[in-house]
Amino acid sequence: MAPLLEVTNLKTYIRQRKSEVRAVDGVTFYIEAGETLGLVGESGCGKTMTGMSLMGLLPTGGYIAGGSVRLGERELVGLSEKEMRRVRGNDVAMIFQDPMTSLNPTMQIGVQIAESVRIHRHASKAEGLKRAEEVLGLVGMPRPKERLKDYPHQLSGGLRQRVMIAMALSCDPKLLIADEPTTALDVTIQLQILELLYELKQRLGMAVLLITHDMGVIAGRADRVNVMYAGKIVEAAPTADLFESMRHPYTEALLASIPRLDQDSRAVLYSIPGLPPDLSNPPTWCRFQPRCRYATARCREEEPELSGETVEHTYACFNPVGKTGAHRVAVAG
Amino acid sequence: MTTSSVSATSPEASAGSEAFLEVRHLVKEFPVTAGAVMQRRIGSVKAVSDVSFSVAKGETFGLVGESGCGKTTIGRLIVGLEKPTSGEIWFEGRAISQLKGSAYRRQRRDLQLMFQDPYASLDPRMRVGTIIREPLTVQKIGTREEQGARVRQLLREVGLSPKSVDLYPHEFSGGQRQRIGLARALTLNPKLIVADEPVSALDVSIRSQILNLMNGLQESHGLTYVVISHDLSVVKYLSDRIGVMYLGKLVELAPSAEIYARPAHPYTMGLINAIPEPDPKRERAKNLAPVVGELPSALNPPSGCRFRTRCPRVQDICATEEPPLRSFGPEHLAACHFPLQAPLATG
Repeated sequence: MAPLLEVTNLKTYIRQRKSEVRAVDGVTFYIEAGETLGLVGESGCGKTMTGMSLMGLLPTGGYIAGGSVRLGERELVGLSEKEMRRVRGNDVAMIFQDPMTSLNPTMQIGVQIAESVRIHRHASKAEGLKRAEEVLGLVGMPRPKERLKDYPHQLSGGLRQRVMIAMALSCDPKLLIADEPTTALDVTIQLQILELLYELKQRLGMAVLLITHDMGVIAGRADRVNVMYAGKIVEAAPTADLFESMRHPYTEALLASIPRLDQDSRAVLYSIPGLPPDLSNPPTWCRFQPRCRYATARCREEEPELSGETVEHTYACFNPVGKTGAHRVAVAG
Repeated sequence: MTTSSVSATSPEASAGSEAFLEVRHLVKEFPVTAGAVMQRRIGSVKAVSDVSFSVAKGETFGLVGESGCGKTTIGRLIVGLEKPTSGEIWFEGRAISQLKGSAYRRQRRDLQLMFQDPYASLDPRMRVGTIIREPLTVQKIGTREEQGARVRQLLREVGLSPKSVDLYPHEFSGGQRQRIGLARALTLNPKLIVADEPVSALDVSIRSQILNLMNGLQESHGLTYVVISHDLSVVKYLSDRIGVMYLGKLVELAPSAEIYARPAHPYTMGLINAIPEPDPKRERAKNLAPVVGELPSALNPPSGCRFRTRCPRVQDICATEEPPLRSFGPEHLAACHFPLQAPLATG
């Protein structure tokens, strides 16, 4: 069976006054129905822009410069705004990082959720509010009927995020894009929200694209992971494989730089030197090369393509890390 | 350093302190007002509610907790940016919390703050050199040449080029700005630095640079740190001992390894469980007992134990009696009626 979502060589560029930023520069991945794909990377790697591209929510100056996004039977690239509006909510929905800035502070939450239903399903106001109450219950909001009249500022961060999830679910999407859904929340609330997303996913059979910088969140919640760097996917693998036998030096470096609870305090952490490349003028060779411990001459001349020993675990590197995950060089920086 | 069981209610004579830094029964209340035209006081928030701990010279003491727990307020109280509502702060045997005027200004040199947000805490209209030099100017230390030399030296120490003096903050990345903030905190040669969320605003791979830098500088400068963060991994990494705070109260205090291996307080366990670890096997094997519900209102905290509304082990007594801090081992205190392990027998 064909995957629910197939993204092929997606390129999203952002035109600025004097330059053009190649935020997403040839990205290919897929998501099966009901699975959770993690998209992990640091700021500027293009993960948020990838999510936005799938929704057709590009910033000023942003445009899809190439590639294809196939959701079910339908090609999304090239759709008009009117056609995209039918896709949004019904087929794919998105939740964002900071619910305070994503929710309209001047509207009651019931009305905001209902708005989604009314726009994407041409429902009446009453039907919208009824559905709003229903989904608020679904996301574990206590006393949903009473909360319909609340304003966002009256709710805590965790409850606001539940409202946003309710809004996203109100039209039964097949794919939920969650962009850093828990980053702005307290850690105990983070866990609640991640558990909620997991339950909902199981119950509703939704696929989830989980976009985050947090490798821990990925470890616990994603079935497969794509690691992004400088606008490209550098490694793709089932989650357990990624952590146990990572191949790309950036993945290795990222994991080595995170302080872990079970680690001795003060052990020197690995530090990736340098900064990511300028995406308005990216190199034509490996983008991680200047910061890579294992770089060779070839890395400065050619750009590696995603490939691997198996089709499930691919990576873009000429000098990948050893097979068993044993680091090739002692990590102590 | 206090190792005996300290009841939250037993007063201690203000008879001096042998610790490097000690906070005793610290309370900070903020009034809450309402009304558009006439502001009337409708209550107060006890951001810090009778907190006591001490810090030894050269150690790193971590304060961890979530929103509204009071950790940032304690940081500001320690460096003198706020005055306590009651309670005392002792530094090198001197009471410092009620100092005023020039004595206050002099004291400010020894205890410096490294601010939370590297994007907001540097004045965008000041060049980096001026930013780092500012404490010297305010404290009237050194000639212009001496100040300039000091600034260049500090920049080198935090791993930035001395040429940075002429640049503006926006020309630097988040990690570099945090280095500037650290340089500024070092300008007056403080004895203790309070680092408030030193790496939270930074990308994962940049954090390790700052963490390594902080550890390195601690050795070379003989610094003592108080590290404040909601991120237990960061706090545990940097700290020798950790205090866990919830809604203004200190609920557990222990050496770092101990906090992780043998937490006594259910909230500490909840925090540990909630931290997603980059290890799929461990993540999926976690036996969660999650912390349920939302943070209660700080205006009207729960009676008895403040954590009881979210605690998986709650019983009736938790609502009527506030649990005292009891000892669970060397330097290990926790306040809970039904802790995760047996407390040490007293007496």
